[in-house]
Amino acid sequence: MDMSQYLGVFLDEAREHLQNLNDKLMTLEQNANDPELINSIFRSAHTLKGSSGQMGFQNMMELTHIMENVFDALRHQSITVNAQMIDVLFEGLDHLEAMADSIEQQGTDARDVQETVQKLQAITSGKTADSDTVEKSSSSAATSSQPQSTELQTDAVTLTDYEKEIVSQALSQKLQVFETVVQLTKDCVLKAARALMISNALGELGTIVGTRPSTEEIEKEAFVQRLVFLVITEANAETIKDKVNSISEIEQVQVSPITEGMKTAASPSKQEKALSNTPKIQETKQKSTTHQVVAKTIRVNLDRIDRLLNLFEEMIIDRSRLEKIASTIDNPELKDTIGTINRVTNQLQETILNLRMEPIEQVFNRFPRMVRSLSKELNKKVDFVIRGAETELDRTVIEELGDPLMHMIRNSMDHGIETPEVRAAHGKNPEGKLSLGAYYSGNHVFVEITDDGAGINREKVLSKAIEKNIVTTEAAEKMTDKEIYHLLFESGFSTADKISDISGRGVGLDVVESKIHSLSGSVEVDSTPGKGTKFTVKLPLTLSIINALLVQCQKEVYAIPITSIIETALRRHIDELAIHSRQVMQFRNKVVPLVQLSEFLDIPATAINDPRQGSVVIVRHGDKIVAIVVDKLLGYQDIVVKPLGNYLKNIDGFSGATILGDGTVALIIDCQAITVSQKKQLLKEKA
Amino acid sequence: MANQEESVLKVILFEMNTETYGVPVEQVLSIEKVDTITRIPHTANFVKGVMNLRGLIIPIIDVRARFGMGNTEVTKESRIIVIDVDEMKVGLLVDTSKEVLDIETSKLEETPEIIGGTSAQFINSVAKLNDNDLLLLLNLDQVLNSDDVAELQKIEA
Repeated sequence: MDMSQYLGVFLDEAREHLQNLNDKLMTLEQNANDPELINSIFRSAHTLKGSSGQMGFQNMMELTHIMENVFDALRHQSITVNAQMIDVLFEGLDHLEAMADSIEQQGTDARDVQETVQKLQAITSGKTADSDTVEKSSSSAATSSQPQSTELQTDAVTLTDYEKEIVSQALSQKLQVFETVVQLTKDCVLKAARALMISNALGELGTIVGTRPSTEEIEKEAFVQRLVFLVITEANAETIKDKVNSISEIEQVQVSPITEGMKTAASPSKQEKALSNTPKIQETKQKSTTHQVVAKTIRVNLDRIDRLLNLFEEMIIDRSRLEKIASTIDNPELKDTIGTINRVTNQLQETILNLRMEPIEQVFNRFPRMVRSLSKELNKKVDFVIRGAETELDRTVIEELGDPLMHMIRNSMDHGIETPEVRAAHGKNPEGKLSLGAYYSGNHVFVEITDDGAGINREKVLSKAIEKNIVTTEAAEKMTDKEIYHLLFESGFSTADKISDISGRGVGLDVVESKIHSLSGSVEVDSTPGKGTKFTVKLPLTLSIINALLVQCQKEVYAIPITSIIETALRRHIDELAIHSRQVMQFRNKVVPLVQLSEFLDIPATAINDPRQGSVVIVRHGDKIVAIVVDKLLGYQDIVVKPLGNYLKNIDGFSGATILGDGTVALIIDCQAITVSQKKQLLKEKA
Repeated sequence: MANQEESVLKVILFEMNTETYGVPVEQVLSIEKVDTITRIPHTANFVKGVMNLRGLIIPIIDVRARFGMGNTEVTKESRIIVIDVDEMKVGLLVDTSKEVLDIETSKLEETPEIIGGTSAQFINSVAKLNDNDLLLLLNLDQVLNSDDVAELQKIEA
């Protein structure tokens, strides 16, 4: 049967289970004797094994199976948790994650896991005498030697006239008719999908004549856990049961034959074999009593949401077109209507963008493990705390955030936190503290990475920066602490005395900064010697619709994001000076360089403009301020940010493009490019 | 029937400097008239700019400039052949686009070193047409090679 339609669901589920295993294993290391924890781990592994087998991913199933053996041995307390075992289990999880990725990308789970398998087997074989029995019960986890504690009540399904007729016809043709009662597990998420899989499986063996509840109700998930299928088949009851049992998240299956005009209950011998085991049932019972009311959710393909957003973006473009037209026609009714459209679209925008928001937890989740293995590698003791993991961010931002955060955490672990000996010598707690937190403020999300390590050595950073020609000695004298710390983000900068595997590979924090800039965010660093360092990343809540100032230069129109703008002014109102043949202006007691946009962007001159008619836009990037000279300010507008695409990915200076009310394209200026090029010029002149 | 289909390549033809060029039809999304193209500063001369194609922003490449044969002047006949190669949607600006032609793959030959001044790197293969004209099949991967799109950083100041 064609499984491709379930692949997405399978991968989503697999990743959820892997994440759960990851989290729980971390906890298990500290909390080795919590039976509930081990059971939950075992269940996740078991479901994963079942579903990967069902989907035909043999390698994944086998590896999960071997890991499950370890969990089972833990569950039966024939082995105990130790750090080395957790390492091996994590190794296995890494392989499983890689398999899931490769299934998604290449459609295959092929991967060399021999080494890990041997290590895992070594764990289970190092057990005590009863290992054999444990092994057996885990390898056939679907069966239980315990007598059945719950029993599917036999169904007094009343057949409809139509069904009766078909059944009697089938029986007269010496076919068998079975009533298959399936009980799904309580935590089964996609009940309708499971039901479909069951019905497909049964469909392979024979013909389904009827279901309880009806097909429509099943599709609407309007059932609890119990499903009844009437099947006409040549196969026997065992085959049916095995087939259904091979589908995951099924609690119990009962198959009983229907004879003419009557029904019999399944024989007791068959019940013994039904899928279930005692601990699991107690488990589900406990769960059902503490069952929470969860908001109803559905899984939606991201493409659909993106499509919705795209359509909405087109509407925004038309809205501004409409506004433009309305401004030329004096009609109060038209203006009222446009006002209403504005309000509604604003709400719509908020709703759609919210659909794309996901908790930052997804990125944060992977760090506890990284910190754990790093602290071992570096022989450092670290207490890692996560705060605000529920903070929500646009999905695109979340996807891109992982690498930069990883880099900064590695950096803090490697350069920030000292070894226990050094810490003790300085009178600090030998165990270092590293915290990762996220919170909202205004239209932004802040992510902070704080350590209580040695802090940044100001002098070391400065001398290195001078040595590498990043700053001049004179400039260095005037720099504030913050400016000096920020030098860490310059390319080619690494203060590590020796290059370690963890950080300082040359591709240092400059990559972090450029990545965060590409997300329209910024990063700052603050430090107190001896007390610690704090990295603060500031990110916009969403990327796709921003407020921007449209400016005109000759015949070209550009957009400048409002987040970069400090102030605008008419050129005739500012004091222009020339220092070393460079144009500058006074702004709040600071000297700010003037950049002619037409020169910077090589804009072809079509007319000679009176310089005194122009305007300046004062923009900030980080702590650098530049005044951009343009011909005309066209006003503020909500614009839809569109990517320039792969072909133009190497283009610097623009963070994207937008479609204006008249259908033409305007580029969005990346103020970082202007401030950076300004700085390069200054350096060149000084050199 | 299936065998026959396999051996025939459908190509969209366009002309440039009296040469006939072809693009395989399955790589072509649509053929468009030229709309307003927004210039992108600091790009190579063959990057004409970007255009709004029904809400999608696509870069436009001037094929003539790409081949180093001067710039294309936009006229009423000018067309943009929108192609999709490796997740990249790009518009090729050409003088005019002609018909779609079926070419038997057996007639395709390897590119000789130099054909009519076009550097061979942009041509995949050639085929003789009925009237002895040569059809040059574009090597779109090479045409869309984006390594040299960004103008080398000028030494400014």
